[in-house]
Amino acid sequence: MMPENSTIDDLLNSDSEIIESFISEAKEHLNTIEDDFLLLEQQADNPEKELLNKVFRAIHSVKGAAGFLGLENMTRLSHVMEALLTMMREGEIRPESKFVDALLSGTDLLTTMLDDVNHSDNIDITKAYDRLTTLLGRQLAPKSPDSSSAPPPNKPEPVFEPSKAAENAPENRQIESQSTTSEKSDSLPETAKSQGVLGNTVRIHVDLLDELMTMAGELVLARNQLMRMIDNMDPGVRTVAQRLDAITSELQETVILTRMQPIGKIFGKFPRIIRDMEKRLGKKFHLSINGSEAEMDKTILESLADPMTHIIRNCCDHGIEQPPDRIKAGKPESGEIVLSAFHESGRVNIEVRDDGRGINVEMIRLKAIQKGLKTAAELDLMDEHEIIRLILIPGFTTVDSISNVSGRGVGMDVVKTGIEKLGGSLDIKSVWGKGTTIQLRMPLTLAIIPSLIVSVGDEKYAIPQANLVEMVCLYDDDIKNRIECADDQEVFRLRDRLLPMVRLNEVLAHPTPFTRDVRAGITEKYRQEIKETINHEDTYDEDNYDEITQSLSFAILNTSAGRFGLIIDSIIGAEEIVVKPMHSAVKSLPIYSGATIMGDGNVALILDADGIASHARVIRNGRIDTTIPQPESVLEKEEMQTVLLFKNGPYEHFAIALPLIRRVEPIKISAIEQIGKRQYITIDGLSTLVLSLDNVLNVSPLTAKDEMYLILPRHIKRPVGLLISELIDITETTIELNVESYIEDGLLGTDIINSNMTLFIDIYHIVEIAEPEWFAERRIGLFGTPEPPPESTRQVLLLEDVSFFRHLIKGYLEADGYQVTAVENGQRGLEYLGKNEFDLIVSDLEMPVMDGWEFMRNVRKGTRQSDIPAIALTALNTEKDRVFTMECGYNCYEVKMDREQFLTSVAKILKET
Amino acid sequence: MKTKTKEQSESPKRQFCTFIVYNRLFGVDILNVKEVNPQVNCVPIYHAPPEVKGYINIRGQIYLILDSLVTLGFDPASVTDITEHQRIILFKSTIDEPFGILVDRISDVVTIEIDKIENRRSEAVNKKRSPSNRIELGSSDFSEGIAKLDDQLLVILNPHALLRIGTAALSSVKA
Repeated sequence: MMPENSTIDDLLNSDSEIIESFISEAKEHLNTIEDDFLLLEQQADNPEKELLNKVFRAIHSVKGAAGFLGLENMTRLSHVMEALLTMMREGEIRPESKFVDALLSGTDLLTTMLDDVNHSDNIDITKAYDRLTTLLGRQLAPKSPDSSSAPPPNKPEPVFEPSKAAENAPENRQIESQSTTSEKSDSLPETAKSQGVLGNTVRIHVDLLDELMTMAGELVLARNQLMRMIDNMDPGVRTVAQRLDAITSELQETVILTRMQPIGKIFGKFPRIIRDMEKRLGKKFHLSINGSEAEMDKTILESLADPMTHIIRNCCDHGIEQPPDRIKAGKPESGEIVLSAFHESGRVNIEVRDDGRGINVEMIRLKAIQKGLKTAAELDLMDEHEIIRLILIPGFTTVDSISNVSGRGVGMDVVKTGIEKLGGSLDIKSVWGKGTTIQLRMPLTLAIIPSLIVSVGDEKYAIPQANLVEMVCLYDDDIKNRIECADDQEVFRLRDRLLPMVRLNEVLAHPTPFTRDVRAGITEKYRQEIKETINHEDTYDEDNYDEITQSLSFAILNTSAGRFGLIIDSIIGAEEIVVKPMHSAVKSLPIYSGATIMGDGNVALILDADGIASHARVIRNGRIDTTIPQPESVLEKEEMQTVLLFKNGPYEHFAIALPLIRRVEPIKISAIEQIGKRQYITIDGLSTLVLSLDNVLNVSPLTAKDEMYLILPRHIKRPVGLLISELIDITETTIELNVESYIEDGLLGTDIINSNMTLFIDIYHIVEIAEPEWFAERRIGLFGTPEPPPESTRQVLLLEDVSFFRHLIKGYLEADGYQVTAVENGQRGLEYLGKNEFDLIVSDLEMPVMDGWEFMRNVRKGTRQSDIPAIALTALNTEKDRVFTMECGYNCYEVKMDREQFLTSVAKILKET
Repeated sequence: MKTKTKEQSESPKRQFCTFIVYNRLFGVDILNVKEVNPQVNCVPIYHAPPEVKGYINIRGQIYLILDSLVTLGFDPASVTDITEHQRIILFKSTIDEPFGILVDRISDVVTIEIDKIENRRSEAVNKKRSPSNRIELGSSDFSEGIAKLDDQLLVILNPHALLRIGTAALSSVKA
C-alpha cells in the first residue's frame, strides 16, 4: 500500500523500488489470472463467482496501481478489461470464448508493458483496446440504460465512442480514480487476506540468492578442505569440525531450497498454449497436469520453459491427429496430453505423453537412408527405440511441409541440446498409432554437482555424474583380449555395443583435434605396449601368477552423440563439486566445461564429454557409432585359429589346431624302436607310441629323413606321438572347413592355407583308428559294448562360438552316438531350448552376444527344462572360474580339449539322469 | 631503491611493483596488484597455449596464471628450474577475471615521477602526453612504457595486455 501523503512525482523520482514492487506484484496477478480465464471459459454456462471475483480483483489492482503511477496505457487497458469483467460479474455476459480471447490478449499486452514500464506508454494498445471496447459496446449498448447497479456511472463513456478511444485518456484517468475509490471497500478484505498468507514470506532479489548460493558453495569447499585436515588433530577440534560439517551441509541444502520453485510455474503456461493451438490447428486437446508442485532450481526452471513449449507444440502439431482421424482410429475426439513431473533419486522427471499417432519407425528409417545418416544395414542392427531416437539428430525432421506451429525442421535436436546443456537428458518412446512419450530427467540444481574424480598423471579431473554411465576395470589378459582395434580406433566390446576408446592422457597431450594419423599412431603405440607387457609376463610371471600385474580403468561416458570409453589412470572417488566457469582466456577449449576446487585445495578441471569425443574424433555423422560391425567380420575375428602346418609325405599339407598339441619334439629316426607291428620312442622317460599318418590315412608315405618331428597331442592319457617329416609354419588363419571336396575318416576337413589345400587332421580320431582298443575300454566301461549303443541316442545341445571347435566337439559327440544340435551363442541356445527337447547341454563359456554363464543362469531361472544337466567346456582353467561356473548352474566343468575325459563326463552325467 | 622518495611532489608519481624475469626488470602499477603469493604450483591446463601456466586456488578463488617467461617472449626452455624465489603476482579483479603472472623473483616497489616514464612507441611522435592516454598506448603490446632507474631500465607492463596475448595465442592455436 502506498503512503497517502506522497505525490506520484515524488514516488516516481525518489523511489524506483515502489515501481519495482508494482511490477512484480502486477506480474504475479497477471500470471495467475491467465489460468483463471481459461477455467472461466470452461464453465461458461455457470461461472464460479469466486473465480470471477478473483480475476476482477487482480485486474483491478493492476489498474489501481498503474493509475497511481501514471501509467496511462496500462490504466486504460486494464480499465476496459475491468469493465468487461464487471459485466461478467453481474451476469450480463457469460465468459464465452470471444470475451476470454479479448481478455487474454489484453493480459498479454499488459504483461508486455510490464516488462518495460518506462516505455509502456509508447506501446500501441489500440487494437486490443478497440476489441475490448467493441465487445463492451455490443453487449452494453442495448442494456446500458437499465443496467442499474454495478458499473460506475461514467463507465459506459468510452463505449459510446469506441472509435475515439485514443482520445479518451483524460476521462479514463478520471474514471480510474473514481472507480478506485468506489471499489476500495471491495478490495480491502482481499488484501487483508493475502497479507495473512504472505505474512511469512519476504521478497528477496535473485542476485542476493545467487550470492548466497556462491558463498554456500565456497563454504562447502572450505569444509571439504577442513575435513581432510582434521584426521590428525585433537578430538576437541574434531568434534567442532564435525558439527561444522553437518551445519554446512544443512546450510547448503537450505540455500539450494531458497532457489527452488514449483514446476507449475512453467506448466501453468501450457493450458493457454494448448488453447491457442486448438484454435489454430482445428484440433481438440485435453491437457492434464500432474505434479506441478515438484520443485527445481529457478535457473533450470526458467531455461526449461522454451524446450518444454517446443515439446508441447510438437505434440499438438505432429502428435495428435485431426478429430476425424481420431474417431476413425477409435480414439476420443479430443487428444489427451498428460504432463507430469515427479522427483526421483535427486532428479526431476518430467513426462509429456500424448495418445496421438505416435512415431512411424518405417518413415524414420526411410528418412535416415534418404538423408544418408545411416545405411540400411546399420538400421537393421538398430532396435525400434534406437531408430526413434534418430529424430534427435540435428536436421532430422519427418514432417515434409513446414508448419507455422512447430517451426522449420530445427526440431527435437534443439530441444535435446537445450536439455543437455542444463545437465539433463531426454528420451523418447513411441508406439505407432498409440502415442508418444517424451521423458526429461533434469537435475534439481546446477551449482553443485555430484561428480567422479579421476586422475591422469599428476592431475585430477572431475567428470560430472550426469555424463557417467559406468566404470569398467580390466585386468591382465583382459586388457589384451578385450580392447580390440577397429581400423585405427581402439574399441571395447561392452555387452551389445562396440565402444570407441579414448585415452585421456593422449587427448591432453594433443592440443589439436586428432587426425587419422595421430589416432592410428596412438592405437599402434598401445597395441605394442600391451604386446610387450604380455611377453614380459610370459617370461617372468610364472611364479607369482595370482598377482594382478596390470589394470586398465575407464569410464563409459554419455554424450549427446552416443557413448564412448575414456581411459584414465585411476579413480579417486566421488565428490560434490562447485562448478566454476573457465576463465574467458581459456573458455574456448572444448574439452573442459569448468573448474572446481577440491577438498585438498587443488584445482581440478571438469571434463566435457562432448568436447572430448569431438576432439578425439570418435563422432561420425553426428553420432558415435557403437553398433557392432557386420557379423561376418565378427565371425572372422572369432574364428582366428592358430594352426601348425606340416608335411608328412612329399605332397600333402596337413594342419592341426595348436591348442590340441602338447608340444613338438625333434627326434632322430634312429631312436625309434620297432616292437612287433608298432614303433616306440622314449620321450621324457616314457615309451611313446609313434604313429604315422600314412598308416591311417590314404596319403603319400612318410618321407624318411634322419631328423624328424614328433607331435605330442594334449589330453591323451597314453603316450603317443605323430611322426611327421617337415614343419612348415605356425600361422593364424580363419578356418572354414570344407568337408565336401575331400573327406576321409580321421580328417576334420580341408581348407586353403597359403594357397595350398591343407588337410585338417582329427588327432584323437587318428589315434582311435590306430589303437581302437584304447577307446573301447571307455565305451565298454560306459555302454557295455565297444560300439555306441543305438538305443541310447540322446539329444545334446552344443554351444560354441568358434566354428572349428564346434565342428570338432560335434564330431566327438556324434562318434559316441549322440544327436548334436550346435549353435554359436547363448542367445541362440535359449531359442533352441525353447523349441526342442534335449537331454544335455554342452556349452562354451566365453561367447559373444550371450556368454555361457548368463545362458546357464537363464536356463536355470525358468525355461521348460530348467533341470537339464549341463557341462561347461572351456579353455578357462582357474579355480575361480570353476567355482563361479558351477555357481551359475553347470553340473560339470571340463577343460578344452581332453576328448576322453569330456566324453566320459558326458556319458556319466547322462547315466545319472 | 629509496632514491626517488625525497623529491617534492610537484610532479605526480606512480608506484610500481617490480619483478625480475629472465634477469630483466619489469613492473606493474601497484594499484593493479592484489597480492604477491609464494604459492606457485599451478594445475596445468592442457590444450591451453604455452603462455598459460595453469590454474591456482588462492583462498577459494581460482586464478589463471600466465607464465611471464613465455608471455614476454623469452625462451622457456632456457630457464626451467622452479626456484624458491618464484612468486605469482595476482591482479585486482577490476583488471579482468581473476588472473596473475608467474615471475622469477619479486623485487622492490619503486616510485617514479610520471614525467620520467617514457613511452616507447610514441615518444618520437608526441613528447607531451597526458596521463590518461598512456594506458591505451601499447594496446597491441604488453609494454606501457619504460623508466630509467639508477642502475637499470624498468619495463612497465600492462596486465590487461598480458592477458590479451594469452588469449590471442589460444585463438591462433584454435585456428
